[in-house]
Amino acid sequence: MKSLQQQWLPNLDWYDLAEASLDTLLMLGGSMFFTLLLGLPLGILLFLTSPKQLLSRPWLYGVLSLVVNVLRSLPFIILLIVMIPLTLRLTGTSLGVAGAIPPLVAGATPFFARLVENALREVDRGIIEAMQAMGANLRQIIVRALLPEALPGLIAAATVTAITLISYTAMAGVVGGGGLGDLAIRYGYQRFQSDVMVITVLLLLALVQLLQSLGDRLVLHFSRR
Amino acid sequence: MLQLIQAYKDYQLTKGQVRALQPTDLCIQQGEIFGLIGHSGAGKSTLLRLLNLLEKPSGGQLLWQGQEVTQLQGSALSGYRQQFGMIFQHFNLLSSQKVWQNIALPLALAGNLDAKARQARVEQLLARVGLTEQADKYPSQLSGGQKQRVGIARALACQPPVLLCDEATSALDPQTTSQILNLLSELNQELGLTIVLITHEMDVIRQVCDRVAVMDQGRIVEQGKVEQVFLRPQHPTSQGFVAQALPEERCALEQQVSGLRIRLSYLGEQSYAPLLSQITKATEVDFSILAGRIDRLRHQPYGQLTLALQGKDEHVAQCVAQLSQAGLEVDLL
Repeated sequence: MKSLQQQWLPNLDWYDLAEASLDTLLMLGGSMFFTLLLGLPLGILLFLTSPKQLLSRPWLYGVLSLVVNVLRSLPFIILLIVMIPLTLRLTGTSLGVAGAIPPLVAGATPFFARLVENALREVDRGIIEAMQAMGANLRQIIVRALLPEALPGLIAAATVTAITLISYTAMAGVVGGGGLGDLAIRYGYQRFQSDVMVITVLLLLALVQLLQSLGDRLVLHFSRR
Repeated sequence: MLQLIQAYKDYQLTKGQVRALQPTDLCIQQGEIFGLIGHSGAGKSTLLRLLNLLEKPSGGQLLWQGQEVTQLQGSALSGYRQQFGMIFQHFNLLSSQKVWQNIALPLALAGNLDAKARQARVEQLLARVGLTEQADKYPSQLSGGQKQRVGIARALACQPPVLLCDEATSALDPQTTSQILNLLSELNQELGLTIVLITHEMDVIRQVCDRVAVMDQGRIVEQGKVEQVFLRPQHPTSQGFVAQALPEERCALEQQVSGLRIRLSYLGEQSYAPLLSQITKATEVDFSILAGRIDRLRHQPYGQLTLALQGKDEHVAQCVAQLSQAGLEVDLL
């Protein structure tokens, strides 16, 4: 008697699936870490230098904004390839999980920074004015007012970014990055193994769903308005 | 204490410059409640922000205790601003922080108290504004009046000598407005706190201010003691604001009433003397009251009556003359 697995999932290799899932999580975790690390300061800088804000510097804002726009308009698949020399320098390899993280970070950081800028814009200007009236300096305004007030927006931004990163990781297969998306393309699409396709897609869906509901809960928890 | 000398403010817009404040002289005395009244766009908000240098004047001088302060930068500027508490129309509390955290914020920024002393100070402030029970709530759970009390407690946390009020009661209902104004008045007396407030309501000026400046189109068009500006407004803008506090009069003047119509203003102890009845009796003049108001200007009672005097012409003239002689302000309408 054929086992249930042979009947329904004839092509599925559990070891491959576990490895691909782990790769996806590693790419997601690693790139998310660096995206937050770089994107948050960049977003704050974008916000502060934009017109009529505390450090209003129109030319600096213009340059930063242009860089962000260029990186955002580049399709991720192109970014992945264009960045190979740089990735080699940074990680010593352009392959695997390590080879995928720099382009993932380069793709997601400008996206996240823009979302951070928008979240900070939502903070009431009157609060910044009140902080100035209390004699707060720039660092105090950012740390004690802007970031706490924008926290729900920042969490929402991080959630959206993480989900975007999941879809980016699907393309990391091009540089041998592995992951669930890669599995889906190589087995599910190229070898017509529909069972692999369905399972990987379901796993990705579950991951996205999990992240989104976690993000939503945190946003709700920190919303005080 | 605070003095502006020919200070003005220009704003750079895409379509050129706009002068929000014409060169202005202003002197704020220690311990007084000074009111700035004007319509929106009159420049009162800009003027208020010049005082704690939230806006830098485009020219002119600002003297604090006789020292020029317009050039202050960095930590010296922060230190200067900490001499001022400020409260706002929309309260501007941190929505992410609890009530006590909002009040502790300026103490934390100044950083000159340890945690224990800070907590004691916060409790003292909470008690003073009557919000001890609300310490662990978030601002969104409070009413407007309670939010403004938090704003006041926060503004006074570092014991500044001056409190700036930016339309502090404009978002509140009349009853809450009165409570907040009473609190400000008490704080002024208890702490010797100097208060500068801006408003577009003459009633706010009437209830708490010692002196007032009326602003129109970026300049101060009239200033002086409240009773002087309130009872004898000179500039049309001031007259408009005063009329706003006496709305019945215009209505009464539209009625066809025979006799000489006059407005009688009296202040202080005069308010309680039976002058009107004595004089009209003595001169054999009858009067009817068309409109009137008896109220308080901060500390002293005042009254304003619009009357129609009827009688023989010479009697009426005599009556008016005697009313003036008795020290009442008489305006023929």
